Amino acid sequence: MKELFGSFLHPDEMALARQYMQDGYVIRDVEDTGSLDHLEDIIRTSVCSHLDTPSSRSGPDLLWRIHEYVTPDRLNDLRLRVIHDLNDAEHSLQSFYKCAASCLSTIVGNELAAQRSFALSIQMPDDDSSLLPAHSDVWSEDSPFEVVLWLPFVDCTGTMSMFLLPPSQTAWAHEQMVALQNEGVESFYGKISDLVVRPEVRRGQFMIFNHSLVHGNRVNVEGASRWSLNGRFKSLFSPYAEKRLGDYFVPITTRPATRLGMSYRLPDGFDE
Amino acid sequence: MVSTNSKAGHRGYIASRPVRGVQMPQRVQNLVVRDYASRAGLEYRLSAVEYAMPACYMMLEAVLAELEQLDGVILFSLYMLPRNPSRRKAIYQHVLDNDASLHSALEQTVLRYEADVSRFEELILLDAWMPKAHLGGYWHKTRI
Repeated sequence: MKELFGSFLHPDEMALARQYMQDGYVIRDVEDTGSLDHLEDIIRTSVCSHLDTPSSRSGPDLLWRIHEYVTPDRLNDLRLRVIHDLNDAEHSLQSFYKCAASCLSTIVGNELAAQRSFALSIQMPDDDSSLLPAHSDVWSEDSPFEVVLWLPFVDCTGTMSMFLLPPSQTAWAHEQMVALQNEGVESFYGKISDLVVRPEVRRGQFMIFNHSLVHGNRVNVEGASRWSLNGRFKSLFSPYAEKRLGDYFVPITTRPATRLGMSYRLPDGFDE
Repeated sequence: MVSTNSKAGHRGYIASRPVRGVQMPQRVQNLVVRDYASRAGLEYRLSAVEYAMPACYMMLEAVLAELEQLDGVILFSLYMLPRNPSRRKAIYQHVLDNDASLHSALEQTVLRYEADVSRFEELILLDAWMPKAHLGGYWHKTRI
């Protein structure tokens, strides 16, 4: 038998897998634009309600100009309101998943667990209150068997996007981190800042990235506000870390063979 | 929001033994249960505390016996339910027969109707199978 494991993948899937392994991320067009629009409708309705602005008066640029309506000290209230409305809405997690379903299937698998409540990031220009320092999610509560789906609602270029340290630099970065153990995380960022990439992701596209890689964001100096959702996906039966099935992850595509297998009982009661 | 019927709210139910291998302080369990009740608009009644002896569910049985007078029960976690599937199913049926609800605060899941049983059971069955998965289903990163 000559075939190697994984070689049964379609050539398109092989190309996607290679790109993900090499770059640590992939960017593709949203697979179901109706789902993207559904999520954006929820966001815009929530924003208009919070700002007491009739949705008819909010133009298409409402999101990327949100800094003209909200001061930084009121931003977190808005963010919490919108994330509440998103997670409370019917089918929002399903819509989020459908934006990238086939790509997730190729990279992660077809029997998935998803983060129960996805996260919303709003980064207004020059606002330093919503920053994530350089980190790997695996350094806290996540397992390296997860991926992050990152879905922007505005075009994200330059500092509106996140930064990511390419996989080829990971071993070196880990050495630097150990060497800088008595200094703060800003010193660590100073070491890696020339090596990070900032993937450009437009509205209508999504990014799936490896959250084991060092990543984060810096002050947005682009003049427009960033809006993006992010949520984790993993293979249902791959190892979990502290974010566990049930309280953090929920099964979303459990297959019938698994359901039947889990419930199967051998005939019982034989005597020796 | 407070219940408007003649029943007297939702009784919390917390553990004295580890839940999925984690011994959670009862104060923290109560915080999770009360926070869930508040977010869900449920009237919270003081939690019953299960005994520490393995496989003992005497406090849970006492709470279930109260269900005619309660709107429902808020478990700290659905993984506190008995491992025996038939015993769990009897609990679900008892809840449904009393027109009550069974909430799981940590997993933010509720059983109100027959159709909700499968959601509880899927989470419990998947967890039961996890030790047989790759790396025992858990990626260890901290050596204590």
